[in-house]
Parts: sequence; structure tokens; C-alpha cells
Amino acid sequence: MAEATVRLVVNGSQEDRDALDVVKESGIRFTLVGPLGNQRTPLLIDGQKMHAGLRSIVEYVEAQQQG
Amino acid sequence: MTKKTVLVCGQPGIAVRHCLRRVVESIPGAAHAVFLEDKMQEVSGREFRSAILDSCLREQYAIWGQGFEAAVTELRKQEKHPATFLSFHAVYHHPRTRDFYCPIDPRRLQRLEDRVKCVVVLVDDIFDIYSRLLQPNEIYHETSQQASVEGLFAGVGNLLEILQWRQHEIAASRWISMLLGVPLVVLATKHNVRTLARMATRRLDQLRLLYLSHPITSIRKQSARYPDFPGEVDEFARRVSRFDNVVLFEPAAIDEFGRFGRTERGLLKPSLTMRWSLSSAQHETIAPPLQAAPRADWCLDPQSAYASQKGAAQHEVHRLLRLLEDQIGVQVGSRDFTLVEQATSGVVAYRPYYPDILSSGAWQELDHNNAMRRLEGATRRKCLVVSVDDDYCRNRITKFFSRLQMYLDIPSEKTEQRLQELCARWLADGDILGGFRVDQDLHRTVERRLPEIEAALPNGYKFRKVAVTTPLGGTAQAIGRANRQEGFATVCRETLEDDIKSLVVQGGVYRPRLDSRASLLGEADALLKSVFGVKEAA
Repeated sequence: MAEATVRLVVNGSQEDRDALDVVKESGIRFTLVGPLGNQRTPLLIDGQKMHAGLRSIVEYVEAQQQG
Repeated sequence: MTKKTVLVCGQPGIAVRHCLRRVVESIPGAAHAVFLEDKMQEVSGREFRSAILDSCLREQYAIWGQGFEAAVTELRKQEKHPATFLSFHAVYHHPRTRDFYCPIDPRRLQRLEDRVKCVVVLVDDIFDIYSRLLQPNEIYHETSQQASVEGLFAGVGNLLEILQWRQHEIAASRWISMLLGVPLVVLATKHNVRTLARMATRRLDQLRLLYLSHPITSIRKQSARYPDFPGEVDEFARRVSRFDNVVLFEPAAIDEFGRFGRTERGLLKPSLTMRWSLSSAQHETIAPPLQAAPRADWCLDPQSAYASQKGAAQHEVHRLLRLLEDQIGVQVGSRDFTLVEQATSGVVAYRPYYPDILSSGAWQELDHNNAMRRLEGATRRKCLVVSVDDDYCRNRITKFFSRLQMYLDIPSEKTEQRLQELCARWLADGDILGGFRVDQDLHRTVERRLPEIEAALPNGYKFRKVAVTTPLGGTAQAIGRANRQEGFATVCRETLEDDIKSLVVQGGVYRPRLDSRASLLGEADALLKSVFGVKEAA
């Protein structure tokens, strides 16, 4: 199976749950990673770019949908 | 011409003269070191720090050029040696203007293109650097005499400056390496002296440059629970680097993040907790042991001013140390990625799931190694994961509960706490651990333990739509049953997915069911030989 380029790192907190919902609803194809030790906020990795925290992930998703 | 000169850069406080003396002594009669700033003093007849650095930049550039010519002349005279070092600071800091600037003349430096094999920039813990720079005749000595709270504030400012200085030195060294078309190596001086000796005396393409990845932060946070793990990692590092053609980069050779002590009220204070142990004895490291300071954290409060501070001043110190800690944290990630990049043979990950969760740092380093492998195309970059099965099974249990929390519909705080307690009980239970070992057993284990899980959940619990497909119809009871069945199936399926597996494209994952560490290390030797082609000394 070809590897999805977008990865979402989550641990199970409310912020992680919200981030998962946002990315899932956007229809973006992604791989779920985690839990990872000491990962405090959700992290979205697209190639070499990282988006940490729900707010940044929402901005990323909005940009993808507009672009 | 054979390329046999290593350019060695580093900020003041690294003790580069002592470092290179130790390296040169470790390769008897075979190496010679030239110090460009010494040559600048010789050609100008002026003392470097008090006179040359204090002059205007134009004058400094001229003296740098003359010193460089004298250094090259000496290097030519030393051609009988198989290895030579040319040492200089890539960035200067003006004592009056406090300006950072690069004194290097690129046209002159380019004449060394056929002679230089690599650029090494030496780095060290900022606390050790600062301790050296607080000594008499050094740039921050005045701060060491301040007995007031302002002295503490000034100390944090100096440490921030040292951090910034290190980044400038690395950036300028990277530029030099690009100018000369040779590799850049960032090397902590707490590595074994043979690390640099091997790079100086061997052809780089015949060496195996490896990065050792392992959990650090989670272990540091619970150091009382896992006191033996750092020693175990060190033992593994010693085993890997004893191979004759290995240069091993160890991330814990710099240890600055998360080390500040705390007051009873949880405020950061100017003291340091123990650093990660070293894999090499003090007499084997590149840098000599710190002798001038009475203790490792002396530099943070040389006049013991903190003890007499009360509320407001303590809060002020806390805020400044938090700022410093943040800046240190920013550099950790970028430095570890640089170390992965320069480890052209790849990454060895040691017990990345220890104690019960995949290390965030190890995952990101393996991911970066994989990204570099894709970027480089034809590459010898590989990856070996050396673990034990119990770590892996515990990680599965942690992942199972993490996914439950992720997918259950609005768990209350109390439910979350119950799940965490249940997770802790499962992690400590050998039988349950066994049930998570084999893929085919996992579903059965979860089914068998379902009453325990459901006892921790509220009545009528259900999984969120993100984990299940929408039911088509039927009674509420039937819909609920289908939801739970599918939810647990999703959680179990994802629990079985290994986050590391996809990153190990060339190499392998080794996680035996072993109780004996000695056997694990013995087996790892054979794998290192087969994956990376490491060789025993003849």
C-alpha cells in the first residue's frame, strides 16, 4: 500500500480528538500515528512541514480546502 | 592531493585547544593541530582577546588573512602526518559592540579545497561552556562576582547569548563546508576521543557514521523509576562504537533540556539535576573534565545569591529560566535532526518503546532518517531497531487505551481516570502482557477482559462516529451492540499497527523475547554487522 504523506500524531486528549475529527471530516487522506511519549498536542506532518496544536491543524485543513 | 585536514570550529568555552591535544595524543605521531588565532597573535604581535578582538573589523579581517597564510604554511610543513587539524572560531563576538560576525575570507579559505576532508564544529553543554567563560580573564568573569539577584538575571542573559552564539557558529561552519564541498559534522565534546580521531585518520566513505536513537525525556522525567536505563544505553553505545569502522553520534552527549531544579512550590531555580551519564570515561572524552567549577551548576549561581531571594525575585528567576528552557528546547530538535542527517549510514534505535510507549524523539528521528533516505536516492542509509518484546507489548497496551480514549463518546474525567488506572494494572500484569504479544491473541484477550473494561465505562457507552460506520437500522439495543463491536474492532486493529514498521525500509526490527540483556547485546552485534557492515578491529 502506498504511504500517505500526511500523518496525524495523537495521544487521546480532548484536543487530539478534536484534531482527528477536523482532519477526518476534511476528507484529507492521512495516517494516524501514536500515542508517542511526551507528545502534548496533536501534530500534523505533511512532508517536511509540521503543524502543532489544534489551531494550526485547523488552519492547515482550511488552506487545503481553499487551495 | 589526499584530503587529510579537518577544519575544527567551535565557540569560545569549548576548550578546543585541550580537546585537540587529547585527540592528537590519541593518534601518537600521526597528527598535528594548528590554531589560527595563535597565528593571528604571532603575525600581529598582539594578544587575541584583549587587543585583536577589540580592534575595528577591517583590521581584524586583515590580521585574519595574515594569520591564515601563516597557518597554511605550517600545515604544509606538517604534510608527513596522516592527519592535520586547522582550528578557528567561525564566528567572533565583539567585546564592546557585542556584535556577532564572521571573520573568514572565503577566497583564501577556498585554496584549501583540495586539502580539507570535513568541517567539524565542536559543541558542549552550555552550562559547561559558561563555567569556563566565568573564569578569570574570560568574557563573562564579571558576572561571577555579582552577589545580587541582578547577577542571576545577567547569568540567564549570558546563557541565552551562548545558545545564540552556538547557532551562529554552526551556521557559519555549515557555510564553510558548503564553500569547500565537504561534509559538516556537529560533534559534542563529550563523545569518545576516537570519534574524532577516526574521522581524521580514515577515509570517511569507509566509515559507518551512525546515530543512536533512544528515549531520553520520558526517562529523565521518571528517573527514579528507571534508574538503570541510561547505563544500559551507555553500555549499548560502547558496544556499537567499539567496532573499528564506526563513528557513533550520541544525542545525550549534549544534555541541557529539562535539567533545572524546582522549588517546593514548583518554580524553576538556578540549580541542575543530574545529567545523562556518559558512555565514555572522563579520560576518554574529547573535552577534559570540567575542573574550574566546584560543581556542575555553579555557573547558574556562583555567589549563592538565590538562597536569600523571596517571592517576587524567585518568580522573576523562574520566568527567565523558563525562557532559557524554551530556547534550549528549540535547539534540541534541530540539533538531533542535524545529527541524523550527518549520520550517513543511518540510525540505530535502542529500545524505542521503553518503558511502555513509543518515544516521540525516536519516532521523529527514524522518520527523518527515512525522509533523508528518500531525498538522497541511491544511499547506504539504513535503520536498525533493537528492542525487546516486553517493551513492544506494553506499548500495545498503552496504545489500546489511548485509542479507547480517542474513540469513546465524550468520556468524563472520571472515566478517563478509571481507564488510566486499568491501563496501569494491565501494564503490570504478565498474563495480560502475554495476551498482547501475538497478533491473533489480541482480540481474544480483549474479549476476555471486556467486563473489566466495561466496568470502567459508563452505562450505555458508545464509540464516536470517527471510529465506526453509521448503523443502517434496527433496535436501539442492536445498534448499540453493533457500535461497540465495531468500535472495539477498530481499536484492536489500530493497536496492532506498528508506527515504526513503515519507517524501517532498509534494515530491520529486532525485538526478541529475552530476559537476558547480555543475549540481546550479543544478537545486536550480529545484526549491526549484517545491516551496516560494521567490522571488529583487526
